[in-house]
Amino acid sequence: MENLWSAIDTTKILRTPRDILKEQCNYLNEATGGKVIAQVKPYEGKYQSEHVLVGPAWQIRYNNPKFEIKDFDVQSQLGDTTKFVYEFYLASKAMSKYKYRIMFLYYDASLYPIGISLDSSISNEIDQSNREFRVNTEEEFMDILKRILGSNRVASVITNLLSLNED
Amino acid sequence: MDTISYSKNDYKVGPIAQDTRVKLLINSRLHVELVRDSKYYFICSIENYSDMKFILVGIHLPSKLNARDNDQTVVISDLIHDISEAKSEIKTDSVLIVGDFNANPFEDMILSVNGIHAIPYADIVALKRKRTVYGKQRELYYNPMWNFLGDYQVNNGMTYYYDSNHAVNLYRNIFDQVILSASMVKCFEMKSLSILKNIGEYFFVDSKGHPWSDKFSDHLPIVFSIKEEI
Repeated sequence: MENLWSAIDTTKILRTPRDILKEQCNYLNEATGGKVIAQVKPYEGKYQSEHVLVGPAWQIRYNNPKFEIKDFDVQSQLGDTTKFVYEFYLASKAMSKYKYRIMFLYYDASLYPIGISLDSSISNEIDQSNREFRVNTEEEFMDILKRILGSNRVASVITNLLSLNED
Repeated sequence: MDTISYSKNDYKVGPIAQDTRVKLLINSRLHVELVRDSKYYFICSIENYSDMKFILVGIHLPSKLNARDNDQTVVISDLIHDISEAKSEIKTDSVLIVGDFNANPFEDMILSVNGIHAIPYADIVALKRKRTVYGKQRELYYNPMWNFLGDYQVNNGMTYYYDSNHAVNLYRNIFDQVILSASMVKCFEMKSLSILKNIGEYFFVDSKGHPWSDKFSDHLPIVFSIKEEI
């Protein structure tokens, strides 16, 4: 019988958003000698703020015209098809109970668009006024990730956690 | 400065990871671990030698005068989420929240189920612990600061004074509060709760009885005791 799966190319493995974050985790773990680590883990709790859905005064203010950012409601945009939810956070060898969550990340099997729920201090700093938004491509994701990981907030937390390791 | 000594006790500064608007100074005999933090709050796990364990939340929420739209709502939403995770990770239901809420006890962010869900009655909180709202169980908290509102039993009760030309003007506000989960109610010593106007010869209020902002702070401190379980 003829093979009808003609569009399948098993040699082409895509890099998922989670893979991209894991690469960044490795860079940080290496840079700090494991004293401050970044982790990306599956998450089962609530990953969106309720205020986004109910807040009457919610206004979207996004200054970078490169991105198409809309009011993002995961139920309508991704609906029940959302299968992959991850939290991306910093932790420290010296403070075993501490977690600084940088963002939640969620997407379905098509990988993009991905939904991001970003820490509010970082979103304020990088002029990402809508802390919950989506990105449509890997290029957009890399661009916003560069701004997030390069933010003063993230740098400050890493420095403080490193200092605590020295105590 | 890492520690200070006062009245035969040593106090240490609580652990800090982020630049936070609220700081912790705690008796050195207590074991403290940071669990979560943000610009506006920290969440710590506190343990003593008798294995009493509770979650201490110190907060300094955004002021209504300076906040942008929804700032307080966003922070409260994050705070509730983080407390919920901390309870699960630390494995305790005992939570004590204290600090400058920049809101009165009757405002939605403190009273409503969408906020902290803190009501003025210890017995109801201790007995019911939760209530069902539209099919979901929501934990109740006790807010003893309601007792400072009005002028029947309390003279000049406030932690913050503000005179505005807005439609609603309360003048005397109770912005600085302590709020307890049901499991902490039995540890709280109600008679110890007070708003400090002076310590000895140092008065925190001016001649009108308002917080002496020029000399000390525009807020008055609150003081209370927690009994240790043995």
